Amino acid sequence: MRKMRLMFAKDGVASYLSHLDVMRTFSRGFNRAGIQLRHTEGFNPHPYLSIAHPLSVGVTGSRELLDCIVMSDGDYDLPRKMNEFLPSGLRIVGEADPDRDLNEIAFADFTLTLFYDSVAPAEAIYDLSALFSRPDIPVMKKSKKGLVQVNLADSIDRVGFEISDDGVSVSVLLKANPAPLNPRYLIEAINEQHLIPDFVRYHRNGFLDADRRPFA
Amino acid sequence: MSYTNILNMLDLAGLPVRSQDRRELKPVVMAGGSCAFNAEPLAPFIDLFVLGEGEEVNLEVLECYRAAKREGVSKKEFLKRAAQIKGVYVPEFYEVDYHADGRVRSVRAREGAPEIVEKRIIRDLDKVYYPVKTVVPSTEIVHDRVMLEVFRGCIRGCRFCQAGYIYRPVREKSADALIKTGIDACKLSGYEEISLSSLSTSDYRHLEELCDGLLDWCEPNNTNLSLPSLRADNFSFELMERVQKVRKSGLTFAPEAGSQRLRDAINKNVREEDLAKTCRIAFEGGYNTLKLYFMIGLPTETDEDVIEIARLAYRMHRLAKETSTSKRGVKITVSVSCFVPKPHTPFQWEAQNTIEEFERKQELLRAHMPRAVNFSWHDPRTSYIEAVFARGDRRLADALEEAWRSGCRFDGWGEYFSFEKWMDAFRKTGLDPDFYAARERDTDEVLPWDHLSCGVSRNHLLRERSKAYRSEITPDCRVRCTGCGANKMLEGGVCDA
Repeated sequence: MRKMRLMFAKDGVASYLSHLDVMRTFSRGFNRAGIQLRHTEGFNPHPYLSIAHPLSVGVTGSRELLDCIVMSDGDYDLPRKMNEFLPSGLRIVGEADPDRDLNEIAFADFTLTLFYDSVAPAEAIYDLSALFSRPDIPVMKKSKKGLVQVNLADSIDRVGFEISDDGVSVSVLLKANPAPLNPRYLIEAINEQHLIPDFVRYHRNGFLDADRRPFA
Repeated sequence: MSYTNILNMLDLAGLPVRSQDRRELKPVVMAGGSCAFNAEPLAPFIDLFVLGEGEEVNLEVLECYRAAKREGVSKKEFLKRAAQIKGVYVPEFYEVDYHADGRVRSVRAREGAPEIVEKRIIRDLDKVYYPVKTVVPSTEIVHDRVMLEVFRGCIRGCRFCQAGYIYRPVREKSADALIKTGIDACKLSGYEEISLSSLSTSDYRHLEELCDGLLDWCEPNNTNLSLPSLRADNFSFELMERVQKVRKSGLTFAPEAGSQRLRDAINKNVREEDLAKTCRIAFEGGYNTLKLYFMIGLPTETDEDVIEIARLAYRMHRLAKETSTSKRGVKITVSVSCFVPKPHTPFQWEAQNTIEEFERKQELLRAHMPRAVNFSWHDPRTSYIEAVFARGDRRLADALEEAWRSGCRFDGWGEYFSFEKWMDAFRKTGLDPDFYAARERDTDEVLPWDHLSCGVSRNHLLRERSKAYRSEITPDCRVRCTGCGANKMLEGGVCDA
C-alpha cells in the first residue's frame, strides 16, 4: 500500500465537472487503468480519494492535488497509465510529497481573465487598480448563517493587472486560511463598481506555502 | 410523454419537423423502441421506424443507406428499398382511410411495402454483438452503472403490461456469457456497480449461478451487484442477503391491484400470502422500508377493489410493526398510478377511466388509507394524455405539433406539464381526446396499429381479455405454453420460456 499525492490539470470540457463528478471520474479512471485503490471498509465501500480545495464548476486548474492510497507498492508508471484512461480535460501532470501537511498551503494562485466588449483594457486597469488599492472592499459572502459582509482586502495577499490578448489579466494570490476565498467575490466587487466584464475566465495556477514557494 | 421532445430535438438540430419537408437523402430520421409499435402519432415526423430489436436490422438499414448514398438515389428511392428490409416501417407508404366518425376504415400499403410489418428479434442472444466498451459520461447520469441484460421477454403475461407482450418470445443469455460480459464491462468502464436488467430478474433460470460467478469477481474488486425487478412470490432471501452485503435499504414490490380478484383479472399472479411472507422475512431481517406500487382504473375494477388497496397497505403496516427488528421504525409507501390501456395488450380495446373517475377513486383511497402509510398518486391528467397518444392514429400528429408549437416540452415532468395547452391543441386541430382515451373499441374495429405486429396473435389477446372478465388466471409460460404466437419467430417454433 502506498500513499500518493498526484497533481492533475483540469481544463477544457472537464472544467464543467463538479467536484463529486471529478471524484467519480477519477475512481473509474483508476479502475480502468487496473490500479486498485484502498477502499473504506463500511457497508458501502468507496475509494479513499480526496482533492485539496476543490475547484468550482467552470474553473480550470493546472496543478490540483489528489490524495489516494494505491494497493500496490511499486507502480511508478502510474501517471502515464492513468492518462491513457482519463477523459479529455483531466490529466495527471506529476506527483508530490504525500506526507506534506495540506495545512501548509498558505495561498492559492489564480489568474482571472476579464473580457470587455466596450471598455478599453487600459482604462479598465486604471479603475481596477484603484478599487483594489482600497483598504476596505466590502462584499456579501454566503455562509452557513446566511449572507455576511466580509472585507475582500483581508483575503487578498497581492493582486496585479496587465493587458492580455483577451482583455485584462488579473493575477491574484488569495490567502488560504483556512480555505481560499472563491475568486468570484473579486468579480462581485468589480461588478459593484460598474466595471462589469462581459465574460470572465478563472484559472488556478496552484498553491503556495507560507514562503510563497510552490506547495507541490 | 416525450413526443414533444422529439419534435424539439429535430427543431434544435435545425431540421424541419415533418418528414415531407426534409427532401434530401441526408439526414434520415429513424426511430425505434416500444412506442414504435404504435408509431402512428409520430408518422408524419419520422422517415422510418424499426420494429423490435435493432442489433441486426440497424446494420442492414445502414448498409442500404450507404448504397443509396453511393448511387446518389433520392430519399424516396432509399425509403422504398429500406421498406423491403424485414422490421422496417416507412409510414409514408401506408395510406389510412377513416370512417366518418373518425375510426380507421383501412390501412393500405403502397410502393411495394409489406401489408404487415413484423418486428425483428435476435434468435440467439449469446451470439449477437453486445457492447462492453461503452460511452461513460463524466457527469452523473441515470443508471450510472453497468447494466447487464439477462434475458428478453417475460414469462408472466400480465394483461396490462405492454412490455410483457412486445418483447416476446422469451430468450435467455447463458450465465457464462453474462459473467464474462459483466466483468469486462466493469473493467472497461470503471464502474463499481452492476445492475441486472430484465423485465423480471427473479424469473431468470440461472440467477444463482450468475450471481455466484459475478460475486466471485465483484467482492475482491469492491463492486456492488444489484438485483431490481424481483417478484414477491419467488423472491430468494438467501440470494438477496448474499448480494446485498451493503446496507439494507428498502424493498419494492408491485402488487398492482388491491384485491385478489382483480389481481387475477389482470393476471398479476402474486398472492397476498406470498407478499406477506416475503415482507415478514424482510422486516425480521432488518429491512425497514417497503414500497408498494398499485394502479387504479384497471378493467373490471370496483370501488371495493380500490378500497382493498388501503386495506392491504394497512395489513402490511401492521405486519411490519409486529415483526420489524429495526430500531428506526418502519415506513410503508404506497404509490398509485392511473391505468393507461396499451396497444398489443389484451386491454387494447378498453376505455380508460375519465379524469373525474380517477380523482374520485383517489379521494376514496385517501379516505381509507391509514395515516401511518405514505400515500402518493399520479396526476390523472398526465395519464389521460398518455392514453390518447398510446392508442392514437396519425391524425393526432397535428395536435402534437400544435402542442409543441404552443410551448409543450418535457411533458413527463410535472413542473413543465400544461394540461391546458394540450387541450387547446386538441381543440385547435378539431380532435376529441376522449375518442382515443375514453372510448371502448369494438373487437372488429381496425386499430391504427393493426399493420404493426409484435408476433402475438390477436386471438390470443382476445382470449386473454375474456379470461380477464372471468377473473381467470393464465399460468406462466413455463407451466404451459399459452400459444401467443410469438414462438413462430424462432426456428423450430419453440420458445425459451
